Amino acid sequence: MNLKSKFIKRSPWIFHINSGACNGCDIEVVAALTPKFDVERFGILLKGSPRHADILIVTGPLTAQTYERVLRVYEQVPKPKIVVAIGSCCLTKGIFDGSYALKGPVDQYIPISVYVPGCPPRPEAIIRGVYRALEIISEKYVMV
Amino acid sequence: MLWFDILLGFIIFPGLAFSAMIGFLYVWIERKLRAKMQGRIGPPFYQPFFDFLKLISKNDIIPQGVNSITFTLAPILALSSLLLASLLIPFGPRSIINFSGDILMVVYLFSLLSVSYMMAGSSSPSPYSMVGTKRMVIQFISYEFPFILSIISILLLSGSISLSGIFFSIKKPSEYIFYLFPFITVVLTIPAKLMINPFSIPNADTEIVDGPFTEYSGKRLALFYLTHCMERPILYTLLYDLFFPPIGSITLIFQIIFSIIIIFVVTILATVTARLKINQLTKFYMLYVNILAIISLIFSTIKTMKWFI
Repeated sequence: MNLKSKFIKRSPWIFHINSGACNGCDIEVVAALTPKFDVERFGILLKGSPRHADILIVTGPLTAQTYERVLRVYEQVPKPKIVVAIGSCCLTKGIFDGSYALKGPVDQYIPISVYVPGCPPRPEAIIRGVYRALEIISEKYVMV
Repeated sequence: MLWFDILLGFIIFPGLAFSAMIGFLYVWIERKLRAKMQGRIGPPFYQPFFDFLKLISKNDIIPQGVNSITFTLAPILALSSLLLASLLIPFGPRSIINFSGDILMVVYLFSLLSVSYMMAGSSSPSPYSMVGTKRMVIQFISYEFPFILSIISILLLSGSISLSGIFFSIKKPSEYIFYLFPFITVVLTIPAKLMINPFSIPNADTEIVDGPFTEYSGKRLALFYLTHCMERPILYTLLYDLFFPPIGSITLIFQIIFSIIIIFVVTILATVTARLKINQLTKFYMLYVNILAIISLIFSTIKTMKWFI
């Protein structure tokens, strides 16, 4: 296992971006960060700036309005980075399928490592997804 | 030999290695205590250390539109000013460098630290860092004046202008009342100096992303993280040296115990309070704390005049 990914596994800082979700998944993401679940015992912190983050959490079907912003925020996260997609809308287009305002699922534009399905997924599932992302990051960045 | 001592002081004790390690420990105590007060388990003790290692192993991005010279220089300036301050402040019974008037240089170096934060914020065009810098300037002006006034009153009380002179000056039990006011004043300025709640106004993470440090990433952010951690042991040890006597060769242990008590007070205050507005902060420091500082200055002046008569 690479040393860099070992450090990230010990202190993953996350940034949360809404790419046009209905706010249901966002509430569950915030619920996962409450004292009841206490993700700080794994070193997970929610950061306000994507430049400080390691893990990008995306919720929602990529709308035409958020398309450029999501790409820009993805580029602002310094490497090594990893993306977790939360909710059914982010995986497929979900209930919004067929809308003229959509650019399509997020994984057509940025590489996504973990998909967490559900409408909305439970906080436990979101924490499991982030944990799975940390396992993947050690496999993905062996060569970095 | 002196240069060798200074180099050793910079790298090992009380410079980079020692104060970084003990700073990580203090930050962990803060985070753990806050977690316990909120009914959580909290991070493991190696957490700040791994945060630092992760940040320093990440890629660096210089965003478009920043002044790359000041953007790179600011974290280095912050860290080096703190390291130099750590050489001047007695960790244990004596400091590496001491000369007459070094207390003024310590005050200057702590100001330089805040100035380097402002430099970091103003080097990027991001509105968040601009607002953070503006708030930081206002906060700096507000708390620095009572802080310097109380240090002047300590200089008058101890009759010495060097830090080791103040440290070794005999403090009689009947004089403790005079030291009480400057002590309270300096303790009240700690949360504003370290930018923690209720005065976490410049780096308010729910309003303006991370204030002056918004555009920083990777290795430069790691240097700022290290500076935040090292600020604590150096400031708390300065506080011990100003107000308490040295106790033989076990002074360092007493300094650490005193620091942990101060951390408990400051963290409990930070956890039970919410963030204030900038005008409330200015009123608090410019009015109430300033009055306290002026009272302590008047008291110490009266006492010094008695000495001369």
